[in-house]
Amino acid sequence: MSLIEHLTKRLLLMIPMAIGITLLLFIMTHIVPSNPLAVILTEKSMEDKNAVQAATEKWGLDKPLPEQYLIYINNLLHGDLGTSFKTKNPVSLDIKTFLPATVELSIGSFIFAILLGLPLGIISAVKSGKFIDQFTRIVSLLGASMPPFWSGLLVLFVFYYKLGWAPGPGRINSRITAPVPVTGLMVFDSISQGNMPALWSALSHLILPSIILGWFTLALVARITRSSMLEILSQDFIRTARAKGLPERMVVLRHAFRNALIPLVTLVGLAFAGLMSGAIMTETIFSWPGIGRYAVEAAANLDYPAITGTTLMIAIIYMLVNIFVDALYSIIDPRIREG
Amino acid sequence: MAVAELTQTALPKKSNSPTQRRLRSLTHNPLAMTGLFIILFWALAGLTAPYINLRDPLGQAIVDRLKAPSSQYWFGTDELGRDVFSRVMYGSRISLPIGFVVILFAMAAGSLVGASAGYIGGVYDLLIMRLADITLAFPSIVLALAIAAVLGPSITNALIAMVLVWWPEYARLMRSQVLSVKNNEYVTAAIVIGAPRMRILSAHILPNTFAPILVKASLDAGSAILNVAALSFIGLGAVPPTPEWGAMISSGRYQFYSWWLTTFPGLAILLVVLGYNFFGEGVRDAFDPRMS
Repeated sequence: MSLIEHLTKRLLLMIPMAIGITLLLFIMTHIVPSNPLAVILTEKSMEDKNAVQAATEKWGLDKPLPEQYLIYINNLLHGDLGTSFKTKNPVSLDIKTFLPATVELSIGSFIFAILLGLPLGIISAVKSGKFIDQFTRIVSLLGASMPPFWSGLLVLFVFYYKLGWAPGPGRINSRITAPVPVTGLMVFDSISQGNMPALWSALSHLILPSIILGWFTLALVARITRSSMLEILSQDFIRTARAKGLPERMVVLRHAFRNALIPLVTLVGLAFAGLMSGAIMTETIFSWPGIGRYAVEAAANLDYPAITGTTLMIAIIYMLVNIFVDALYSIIDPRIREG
Repeated sequence: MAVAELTQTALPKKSNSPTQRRLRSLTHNPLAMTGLFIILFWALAGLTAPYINLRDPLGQAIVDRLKAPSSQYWFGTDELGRDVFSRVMYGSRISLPIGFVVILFAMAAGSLVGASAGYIGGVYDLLIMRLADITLAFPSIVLALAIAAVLGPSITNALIAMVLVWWPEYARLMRSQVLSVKNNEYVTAAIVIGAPRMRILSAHILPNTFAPILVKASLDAGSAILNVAALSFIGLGAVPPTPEWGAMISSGRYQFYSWWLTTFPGLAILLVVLGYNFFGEGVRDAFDPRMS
């Protein structure tokens, strides 16, 4: 099967999945609350007869449920995710505003996780069973066991309040002129507009939340690198490389590490789910204006259109990430396509 | 007598059934036993909390509000003058069983559904597995957040939300287990001698599928606690004034400079989750060495 065929098949399979996802969200919001209007309108506008009338018509609330679902899908296909109670903006607009901050934070945390996780994983495989291996295991377990909403507060207290080494919450110092949002990625926008103070401020604000968010991914990276390195290091071609007198560093980095990279690709999909969950907490603590914090505020305010809109959006992005990972994997290792 | 003692030490009488061997490997694993010790410590703290003369976890003493840790208040007091130490101890009565309950229900529901899907097959299997796929298309905490918000904030609803997003993982695992065990020759033999279907499922298939399920459950318990604490932190789980660790951190973070309000409940969560994770890793090493 060619790569194109494989990808097309995966993309086509996404359609029934997307229908399922929307159906699940529809059932959730239309069956559970006693009055479906409560999902669309605020308490205040429920008293307003015109607003009730308009909402009933737009979402077809006087029609039978299957028809309501079709109307919901039709609205979705026109990019209408509803209007947020809290921000009073269309949810799709809100998502567009808040998503870049999350993307930037995710990139930061990924860089942290890879920069630290890869070497830790390699070293603990080479020195398997030694102190550094145990140390890595403890670091990984701590990463998986620490509530990010707590560790975030802790590092803010120590590094911002006590030591003054790191800036406080937020994306940029409020006294610095922020770059005009073009991509919404503050680091990128600062560079392209030559705004050096903003670049510096944005980068320094990224450090603490990236570490907190990246710790979980770091644990995954270190662990998968370790186990895949261990497997490769016991193979015949490694023994051959050693036997012909290659320096150990070359054996580990050139021969073993390159081959150990393959399973790491699958990690991207796993890490994405972790990042989304982590972003919810990390962004709340660091007042990071991203999609995670938006989702939390929506949930806390029972802002149903915003909740279902973001949930749908995240699920769709998650599916696309998985297809991308799958494609990447089958490029690296063509056996997958055959299976 | 001396000879008998000698032979006993030389040849320790150890049974070698696989389960006993695995249990021995578990009890000889220092990490796993540390984990078990931590869990037992908190279980004890939670069980004895009402009887060891702690201050009332809900009792307010406005005069003593936001007091730093001292010999009088070991973990300090919160914004309403409540004793943080007492609230942390009482908190284990909520947070500790949560891991068990969520995982137990998710495991029971998931295993039941997954096993029946794998065994019955056909349209039923197809429907169940697509429902599982759809649920797994969401990052779990995101969907749990949405469900908990729709159901309304309460600790029970947070638990329901967690079980609803977690069962498919068990269903998938159980189904694949059943499918692989189903084709073993001893199952075919049982069918040939005319054993009833229920008996084949309960006596021949299920007992051989449980190891990976249990391993997964013990590895998941920590995340369950973490996620429910997260829901409480957001305000969708335990409601104030319940002494729940996630909720305590949530209300404590507005008193940023009173570090003790968030530090101690946070440490409590960290310890319990570490305990579960240590133990879970030990269970995995003992029962499924391939996975480590």
